[in-house]
Amino acid sequence: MTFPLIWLAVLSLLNRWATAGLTITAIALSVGMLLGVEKVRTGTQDSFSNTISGTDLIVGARSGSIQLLLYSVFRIGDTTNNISWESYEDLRAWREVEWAVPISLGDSHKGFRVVGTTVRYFEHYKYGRRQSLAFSSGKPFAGLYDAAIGADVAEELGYAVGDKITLAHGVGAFGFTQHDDKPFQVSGILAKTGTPVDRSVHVSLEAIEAIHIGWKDGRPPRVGGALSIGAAMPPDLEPKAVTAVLLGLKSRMAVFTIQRRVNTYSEEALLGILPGVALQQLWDAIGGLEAALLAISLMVVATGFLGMMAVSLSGLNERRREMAILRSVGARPVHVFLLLVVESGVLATIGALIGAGGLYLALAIAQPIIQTRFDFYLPIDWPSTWELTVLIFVSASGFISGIIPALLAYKRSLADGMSIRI
Amino acid sequence: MPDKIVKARNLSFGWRSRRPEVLNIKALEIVAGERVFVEGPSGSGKTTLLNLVAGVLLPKAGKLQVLGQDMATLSNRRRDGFRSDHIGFVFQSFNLVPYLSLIENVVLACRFSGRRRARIAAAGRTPVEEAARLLSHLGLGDQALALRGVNQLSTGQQQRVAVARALIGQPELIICDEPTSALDADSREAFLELLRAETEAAGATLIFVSHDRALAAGFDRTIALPAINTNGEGSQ
Repeated sequence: MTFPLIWLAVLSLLNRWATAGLTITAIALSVGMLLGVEKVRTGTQDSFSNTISGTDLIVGARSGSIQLLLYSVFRIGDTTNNISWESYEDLRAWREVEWAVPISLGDSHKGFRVVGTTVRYFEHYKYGRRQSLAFSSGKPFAGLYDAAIGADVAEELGYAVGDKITLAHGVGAFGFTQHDDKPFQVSGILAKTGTPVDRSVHVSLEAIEAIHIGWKDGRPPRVGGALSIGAAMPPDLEPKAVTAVLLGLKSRMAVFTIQRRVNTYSEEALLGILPGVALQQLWDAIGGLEAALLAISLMVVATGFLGMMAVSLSGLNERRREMAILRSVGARPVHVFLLLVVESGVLATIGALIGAGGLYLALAIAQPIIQTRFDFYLPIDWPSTWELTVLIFVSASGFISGIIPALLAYKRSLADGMSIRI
Repeated sequence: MPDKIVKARNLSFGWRSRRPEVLNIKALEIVAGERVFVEGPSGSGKTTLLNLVAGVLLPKAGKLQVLGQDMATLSNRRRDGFRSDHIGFVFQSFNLVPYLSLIENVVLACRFSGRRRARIAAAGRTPVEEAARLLSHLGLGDQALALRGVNQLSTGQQQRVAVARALIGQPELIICDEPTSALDADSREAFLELLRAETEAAGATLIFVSHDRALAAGFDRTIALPAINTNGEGSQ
């Protein structure tokens, strides 16, 4: 039988365009939501797991791996212990180590974290797909009291290259001891990265030492004990300790060997973490919301299908006559069955396609806005396997959910035959 | 063409085995080319008889041959095919599929029947051409071209479209189930005249079922269903 049931189904749907349109809209919205949630989920996860790249190992004082990741990369929370400068020098001298960048945390500027480091930080810190840091204006710190600030710092505080800033001891916005005896000058502003670097103030390790000269046990020196700017340039500003060390290895193959060596380092209790692994652990801990959203959107899709079935079922009575006419010209009950199945399938397929198309359209419109407002890049790629699977699944579910009304119509059609007295 | 279009012997039908029978006919014969008026009040088993002849229902007992074919021996699928190939229907009202155009409503009868398509092809036409020809022959040529929806037609016009659909592809048997009850007196007469003329021209046998005896004039023969149906009440 070459009877074009799809043609009949489409004409029938067009005849009921209002209900068909609403059903398609419901399915399109639910499919768009499902795909959108997944897109945002993978997008945030990608962006999250690319907060730091190119660093093979992060070394800190022994604590938890997530804690180390939080303070060294996300600059959240406080360090419990530091690493001695000797240990750092030791690590750097290991033959497998290509580069080592120390970072020293503990100070802040108006709520933004201050990172003491070396100029090699700007060379080796990578994010995203191995992108390097870049300066939108100025250059890295050169002098002792130079500071290179992140994009958000500059934007929110309105700083430009050459401005003077004062660092504070501790990490609150207010009420902490100010290092106002030693003002810094903004030497450069980093381009936006969408990572915590944007919210950091970078100074040299020596500067961190200099502003703490005369301090003892975390307390400022007594009046008269502090050194003036000029005086705070003594020859020996070699740091005693750093907070963490970013390591790059000559060969990634050695990463587990080096991690073991760090973790069993005898001079000091150290912890080495693989950034990718720790980021994944952290994501697993905080990523539950997206999974819940995904589950909710799946339920929304199911609701869309229930709505479609309800519409189809409630329309059956007024379509008895149509079915009887079809029977009278020789349609078999199975044709009546297939007609309803095809109608549901067509509705779901159109809904799914419109939902996906609408999502991509919305992405194209919203992408620049999302990127500037949330530092979050949502890539517009070809539909992923997952998305295609969803579309096929939704379309198939459409045909399947047509089975119940179709069975009913089939049974009625057998019983009614061509008696169409209603 | 077999001489007997419909031949029934001791035909009975009931919805459930224990329930009283709806229909019980000792003998019924309709020959080729006959135009038969089947008359009976509501509940006399008219629709049941039509459903039996059409192969939608199967007899509980007895023998029923349509065009020499014993309906009980055909599978469900073959009976549906048999109906689409050999029988054209016109119902009381609302004969048309609302979402199809006039032409498509007529062509619909060919979509399920290879035999009707073959006959049209043998005459050197396509189903759409044949539908247009029939519609214009029935005085609906202008509407067939101008209108998309069938709901814009008057009831009488809709019934004529149904006649075109019943006739397309020249089935041997045309069955009409109260086709005039929704029409006013004038158009009723015109419709009956048209129906008789067209079935005669097509060489088809016509079975016309109605409760209204006044319509019986002009038919070759009238069968009063209560007289031949000896079901529960009738056989007492």
